[in-house]
Amino acid sequence: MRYLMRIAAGALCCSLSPAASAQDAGRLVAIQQRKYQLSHELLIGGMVEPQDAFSKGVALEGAYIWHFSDLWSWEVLRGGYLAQLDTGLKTQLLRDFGTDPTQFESLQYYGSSSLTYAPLYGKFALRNASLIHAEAFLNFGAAFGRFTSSYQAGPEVGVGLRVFLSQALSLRFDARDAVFLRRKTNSGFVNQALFFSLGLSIALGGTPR
Amino acid sequence: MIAALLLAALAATPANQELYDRALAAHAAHDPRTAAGLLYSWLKAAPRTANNYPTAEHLLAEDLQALGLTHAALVYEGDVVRDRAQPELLPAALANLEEWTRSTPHDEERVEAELLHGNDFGELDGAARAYVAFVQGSLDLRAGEDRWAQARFAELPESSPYRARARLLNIAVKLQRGSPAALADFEALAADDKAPRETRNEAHIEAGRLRFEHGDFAEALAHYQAVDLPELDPGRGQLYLEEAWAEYRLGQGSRAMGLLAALDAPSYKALFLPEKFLLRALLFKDACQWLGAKRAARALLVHYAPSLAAIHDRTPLTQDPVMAAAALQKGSGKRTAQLVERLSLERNALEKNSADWAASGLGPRLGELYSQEQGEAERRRALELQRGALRVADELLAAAEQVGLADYEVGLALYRRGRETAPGTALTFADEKAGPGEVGYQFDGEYWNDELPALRFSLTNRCALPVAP
Repeated sequence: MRYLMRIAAGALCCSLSPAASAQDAGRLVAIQQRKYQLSHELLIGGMVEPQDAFSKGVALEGAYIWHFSDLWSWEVLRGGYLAQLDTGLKTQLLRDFGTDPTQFESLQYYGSSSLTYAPLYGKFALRNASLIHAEAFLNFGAAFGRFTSSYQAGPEVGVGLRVFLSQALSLRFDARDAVFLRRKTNSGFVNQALFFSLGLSIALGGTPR
Repeated sequence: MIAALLLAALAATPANQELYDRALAAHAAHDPRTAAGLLYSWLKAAPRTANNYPTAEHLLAEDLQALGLTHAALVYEGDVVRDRAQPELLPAALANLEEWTRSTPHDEERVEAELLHGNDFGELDGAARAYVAFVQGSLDLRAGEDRWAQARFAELPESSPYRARARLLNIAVKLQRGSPAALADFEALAADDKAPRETRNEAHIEAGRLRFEHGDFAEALAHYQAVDLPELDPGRGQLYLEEAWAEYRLGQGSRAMGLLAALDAPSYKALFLPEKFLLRALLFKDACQWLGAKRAARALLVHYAPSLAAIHDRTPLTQDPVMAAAALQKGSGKRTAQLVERLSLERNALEKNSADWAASGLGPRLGELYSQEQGEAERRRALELQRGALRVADELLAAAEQVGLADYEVGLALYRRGRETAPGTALTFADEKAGPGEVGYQFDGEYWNDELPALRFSLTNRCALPVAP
């Protein structure tokens, strides 16, 4: 099922036409070839993990995605290696209160695999001069991660948006929530991580229209 | 003679040299308003034989063009080209003429016919040579001077885009003379990747029309659909109508009706296409949708009621706003109307600058130039309007007669007893749904230019329904 995304500000021309009212006996629909179709996709980009108050993770990540229809695709593997940026909170706690915070595990590297469903595909008019095509999608899958002292795995869900730059290139934004399940439960059963990724996708194959 | 010598002496005076230097400095500093005033002051004082006279005219033309005064710019650049007093300026001046006239309405009689066709420029090189050869060749061809035209076209370099345009003109003339080879030539040109897009599009359109005339509707459609337009270009309404006829002849009711719906888009609101009402009525009639057919047929009579009344009342056709607008929508009428509009815009731009140019005398001089040109353009527009209005009235009457006939046929069909006596039809009105690799946008009254050729209309073909016992 496809939905239409249209913005009033970008409308090329609006009016209820005589055609629409006069042709009440039938239905009018515009059927177009999808401008961009993907087959295989390589993604390179960056990721931010903002949730930890003591450190923020930033990562360089990559992914390979296999599109088996316009709606469904499989993100075969996504992985990244993180650097943790100290927020200074730990130092502040030590300095101001003489308190050494509980040691939280921080993520070092991770990998995930998920199924993607893209029900929204549409277009925007850019200053009435050109069209921008975009799609929005949902992810369901599983992720594993290497933390400071353990390996953890769990389910992952996410939403994303892709803006097509050309048949070969698209800009992709992902927001995902991974729930890592712990084996040692002294600090809770789950370790939740929120990932925001921005990347450039390179399409391999596919059909330009 | 004495006066000329005095003027030459004046041009060489230190005061005048200083004026010229100031003009050059203003031109180099991209201050066209100041530069134009100074250059005109210098030109007024200098004799035409002065060394820098052509250069000053050339620079003045460039400054005027920078201020949006294309007509005035063409007059001064035309002087440089006509006089050829400084041959080294000729390529630059011709390049300017080519650029300024490429997409701006201009006086074709003055630039192409009198200036470029009426002069011999001797040996030219590169782009200037191709431009002049093409203009001269095309005017020779139009005048029936084939041998001269071909000699001119032979000068066009292989890489020049004018070569494909010359080929298109040759085929058009061939078609005009009834040559059966024209179709194959148009198709060959349409398939030539080296030809510019506009030329290929024109070739596709002509080939499509010829195929349609020969009854080869599928091929005609293929040509219409091969016309390659920029992404959000609304295209040409006339082409959608022709494409709709081809779809109708092929039995593609939903596609034909979709194209007719596209013609109701605001881009085509003012377009005079009475045939679209007729075709819509025929499509409804062939689908045994009697009410829709009657409505569509009568829509033409309602839409053009004031114009039809004007024709029947014998009032002057040019006074009817619909027919007057329609008369200037095609060919030379359209170009003349565009020139009148353009001159009016330039006149407004001139008014903004005229206060700055009052002292130099450039303001009054340009005012005079524009008054003359506007008068001439208005005269031509009135002639075109007269001719065009007659053509439009004929077209409208013919369409009204046709829809009257369709309305009558619908009336007859309505009085037939059973559906088994209704005329059979091969028209298909599929309930169009987006297939694999496609995307469907439900029409909600908002027209998107990129969707216009993709509109589909689903309707029940009642002729094909089983008859109730």
